[in-house]
Amino acid sequence: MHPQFNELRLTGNLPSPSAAGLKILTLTSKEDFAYDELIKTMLADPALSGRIIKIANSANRDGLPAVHTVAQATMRLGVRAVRSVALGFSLIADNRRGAAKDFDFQQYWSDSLATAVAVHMLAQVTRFPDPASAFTCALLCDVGKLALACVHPERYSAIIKANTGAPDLALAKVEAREFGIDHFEVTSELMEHWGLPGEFQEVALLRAMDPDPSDDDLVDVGGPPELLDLVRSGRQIARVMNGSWEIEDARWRGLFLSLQHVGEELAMDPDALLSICDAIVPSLEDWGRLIDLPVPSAGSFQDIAAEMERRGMRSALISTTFEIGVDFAEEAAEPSVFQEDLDRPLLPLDSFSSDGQAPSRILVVEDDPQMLRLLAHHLKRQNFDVMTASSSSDGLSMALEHTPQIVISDWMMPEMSGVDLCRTLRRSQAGSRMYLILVTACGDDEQVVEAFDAGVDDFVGKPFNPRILLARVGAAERAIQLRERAEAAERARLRQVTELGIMTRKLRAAALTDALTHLPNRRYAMKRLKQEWEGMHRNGRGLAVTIVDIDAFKRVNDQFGHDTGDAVLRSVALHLQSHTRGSDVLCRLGGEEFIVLSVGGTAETASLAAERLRAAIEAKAVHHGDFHESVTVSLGVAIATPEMETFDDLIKAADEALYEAKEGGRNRVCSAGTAPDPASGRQSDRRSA
Amino acid sequence: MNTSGDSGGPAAHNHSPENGGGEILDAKALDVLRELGGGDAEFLSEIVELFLAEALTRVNEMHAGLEGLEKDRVLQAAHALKSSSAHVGAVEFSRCCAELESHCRSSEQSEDLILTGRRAVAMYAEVQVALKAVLGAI
Repeated sequence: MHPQFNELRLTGNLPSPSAAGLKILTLTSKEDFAYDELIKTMLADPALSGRIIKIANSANRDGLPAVHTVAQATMRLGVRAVRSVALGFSLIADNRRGAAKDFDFQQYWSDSLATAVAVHMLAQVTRFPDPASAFTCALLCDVGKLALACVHPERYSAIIKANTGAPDLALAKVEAREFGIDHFEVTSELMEHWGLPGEFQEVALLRAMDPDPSDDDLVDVGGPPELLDLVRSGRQIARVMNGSWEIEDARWRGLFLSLQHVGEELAMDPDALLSICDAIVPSLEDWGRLIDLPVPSAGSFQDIAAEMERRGMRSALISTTFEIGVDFAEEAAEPSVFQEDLDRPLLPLDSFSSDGQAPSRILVVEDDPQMLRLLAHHLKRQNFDVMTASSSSDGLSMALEHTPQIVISDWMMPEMSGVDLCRTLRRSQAGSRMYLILVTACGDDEQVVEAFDAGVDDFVGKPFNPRILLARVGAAERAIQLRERAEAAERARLRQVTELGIMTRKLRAAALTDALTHLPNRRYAMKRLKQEWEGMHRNGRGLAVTIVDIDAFKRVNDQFGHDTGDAVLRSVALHLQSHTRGSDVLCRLGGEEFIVLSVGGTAETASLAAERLRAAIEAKAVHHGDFHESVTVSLGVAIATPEMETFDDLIKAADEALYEAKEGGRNRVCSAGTAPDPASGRQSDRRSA
Repeated sequence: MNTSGDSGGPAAHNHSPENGGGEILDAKALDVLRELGGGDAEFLSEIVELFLAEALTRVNEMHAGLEGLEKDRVLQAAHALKSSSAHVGAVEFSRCCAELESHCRSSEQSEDLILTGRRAVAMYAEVQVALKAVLGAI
């Protein structure tokens, strides 16, 4: 858990679902929850029941009969989706107003609902597997903002006021400075806290990343879009809907035109997107009535696009190609540049050897030299890259060695027949990809079936008509090209998936590392501490925590500047690192504070280790600019005791010990439950009883 | 490619009295070969030579097979000759080989097999003569 989130949580002011919502959450968090109990809980809240039935019916894309009861809706949506939906709705019900006067709660929910309805609609048309979950994810995708407004009404109000109209990414930076956590992180934490699916949290965190425009060259291969794409797109549509609907308003117009990117993202025709947007409007009005929220009075997307066209404004939204990466604020349109591209066929499928592509490699296997010569001759005249083999065994070895794209083989051959050759080739990796044409004078149905069973792709009759032969080879090339395109698309998709995975991992790693010292950060420390705390209860090993604080660090910053302060932090981090035991975990908690987690330690070993750290830091001078001094650290050590209920208590104990060390004159180690020994400037710990 | 051996075709070459007036070589097939060569006469002669060399072996096989009543041996030869002869315009011979092939595939031990086989072997002699004439004319 993000430590800052924990602080938010401890205020008790985080948004929380209604009583019914909470009950549903706790009920369904167990594997073997009572189904009847769930239905009963939902029925107890008529408004919630109505909303759940509504979403079950509006997610109905397969023409199923409408559901009329909560039980039917639960069957239709599945428990997982019902759980999320119930949570979303009960949050709206109970968090409509708050103390933050510049945070418009009503507007917040209107925006969220518009996003959710847009995402729901997009999820249905793109056949996203679970539209109801997409709805909830979108509804709660900015819930971190609501949370910050609830917990820090005044401070967040001020931030909102000072940053009106700022993009979410900029707002997040301000939030992070002010609260040590931004609304994306809060959203993710809340989602985890409420037990929402992991992919929701991922969407929340990935939204914090600027979509990289250089990724545009990735081929969109169709298939269901990612939840993240849906949420981003739905958000964009909602922003348009909540805008001015004044065609003269340049900002809004830019927003409207940016819908093009949404179309690209979802691989959707612009006209189709506009009509989907127009379908979202009445759907949103429906939802607004049901949830009792005001919704924007959006106009017709198609009319606006037509009006822009009429006025000769950039009209690319209407069934033309897209220009990627154009700044829409500048109304510079060069559609003619793309017309050429449009006019050109996608792939020159109807020519035998297409421009710029290497000619297909064809292997001809035929034991009759005259037939072999004839076949090869016809094919060479069409500029194919032709190889020949005069026996089936030669044919097999050449096919496997040179991997031609097409193999044309005689059927009747001594040693191995053409059918057996095909069957053997099909068993090999390379051969399974070849297009196999059999040349035969036999027309027996049984034999034809046998040949196809053996993996033959096509036949040419013998004696062959050269034009028929070439037409069959042309068909083979088309089949090969289609398959190669499909394979390229699949590779691109895999690359996208991999890149997203890498990005997510990098993001996670970055989220757990302190940028200045490269030590694990507070977030990691708390996560690890939680793990170790639980581990300790499982296997009974001891757990000690040492908090290390640099003495008089403020003076360094004030007198020598932040540069020097950073150098001191880095130096201390380095020396702490080199003097901690291998099994210990050193993290930077923030500011000039570090923490050491020692698994299996006793109070004595932890204190001894702490003393070693203290001495090491004292002994080492830091040199930076005009600064040539050694700094000292104070350390508070605590060991987990049975009385402690959570690891927070352990931290608290270490913190108190640290406070004693500071009070006792700094540059010393204190252990929890032990009074500092005034007689010694050094360590003075005795284990408490 | 026309393999139906239409007897009304122009430029009929050798005439065979034993075959009810069918041409031994179909001019159209030879025209196609010439055209394929794209004026390259060598290609035509190469194909014809390849055929003659291969066919001689096959016909000998066929002959031996007939002597020993080895249906399979006759079938292999007839099958191969059926296609390759058609490609040099020996349409009547190709048809005769096809007939022979189907006799071989039939389970009956028919007299027709022997008769057709002998006719094919005899006809090949004429095909050979006609094709050598074509080679000489190139």
